[in-house]
Amino acid sequence: MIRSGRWERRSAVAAGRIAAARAALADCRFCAHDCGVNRLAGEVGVCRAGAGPRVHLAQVEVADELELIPTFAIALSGCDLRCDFCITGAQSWNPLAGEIIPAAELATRAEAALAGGARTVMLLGGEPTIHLPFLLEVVAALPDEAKLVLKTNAHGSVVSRAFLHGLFDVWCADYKFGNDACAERLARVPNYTETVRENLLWAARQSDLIVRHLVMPGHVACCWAPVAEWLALHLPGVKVNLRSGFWPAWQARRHPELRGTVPDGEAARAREIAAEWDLNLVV
Amino acid sequence: MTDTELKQPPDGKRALVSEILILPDGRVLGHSLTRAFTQLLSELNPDDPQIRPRTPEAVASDTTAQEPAA
Repeated sequence: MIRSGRWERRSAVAAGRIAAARAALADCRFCAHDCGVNRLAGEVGVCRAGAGPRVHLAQVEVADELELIPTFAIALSGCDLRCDFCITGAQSWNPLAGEIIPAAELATRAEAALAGGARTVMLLGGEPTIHLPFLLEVVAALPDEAKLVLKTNAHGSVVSRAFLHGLFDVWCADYKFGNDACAERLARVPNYTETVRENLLWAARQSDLIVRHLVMPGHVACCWAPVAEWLALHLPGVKVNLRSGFWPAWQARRHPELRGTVPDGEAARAREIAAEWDLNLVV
Repeated sequence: MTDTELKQPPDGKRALVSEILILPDGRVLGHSLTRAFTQLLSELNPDDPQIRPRTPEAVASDTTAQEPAA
């Protein structure tokens, strides 16, 4: 376990924000959809999530970046995006998937994992920021010295950023689409580019940041190329994980170009683009 | 994955979950890889550059190297 020492009173800070975050569920604006629904009263917005989350995975994993693994991954069901190719679509699109596990129990299991050699604790989804009060409960229950990772779609709002400020050592954020048209068509999300860029710039200022891009077949020129260019120009040196392991999961077959894996030539071209922009690739 | 519940075997221990996709050309794509499953994949293809640094031995060695000096 790495002891960062950055947030000596992180648990107390998180605990102090829980009540306000719970109250904010009455007018939920945790993500950029800005629904304004009262989740405490049973109303649901785009994410369909209620007031509390369910957990669809909580285990030690080694599939993430080498500097983060082994990580104790806590995956919360539900997401505010509707990516047709989502690899955890059954859980991400359904906030009732999985089971209810109290934050204290998750923290106990995370501590055991850390004692057993896990390097980090990762909160992910779906999208974890739609469950901000619970997220804060988990952070409040974890030891201050644990290295915490937030894996996010970077579609959070200014409200969620205020609640999350200073709590995570690493933000591992997706930058999926290089233009708003692809984002609308494949994930039904408007104004994607502006939102993600705003979140990435903010995250880079207040924590370590790893930006992930999953290369999609047929989307190297329209999605990866503009993402690579923007990262090079606006976040020079940022860690970038260029992932080429796309598989046609969930409802990907709705889109003809997403019915297979990434052809070798496209994966090679994606790596060339990364090299042309001198991106700091990590694995 | 179609099962939306965390799997709980009869002995009360939670099952670990990993997902893989085996392609016609033999490549294996993985998601939510656990240590045990990574070990298995490594034994099937010891030269896989994505899997090799994630095996329990490689990770343990890397973690030890990054521990601060006492």
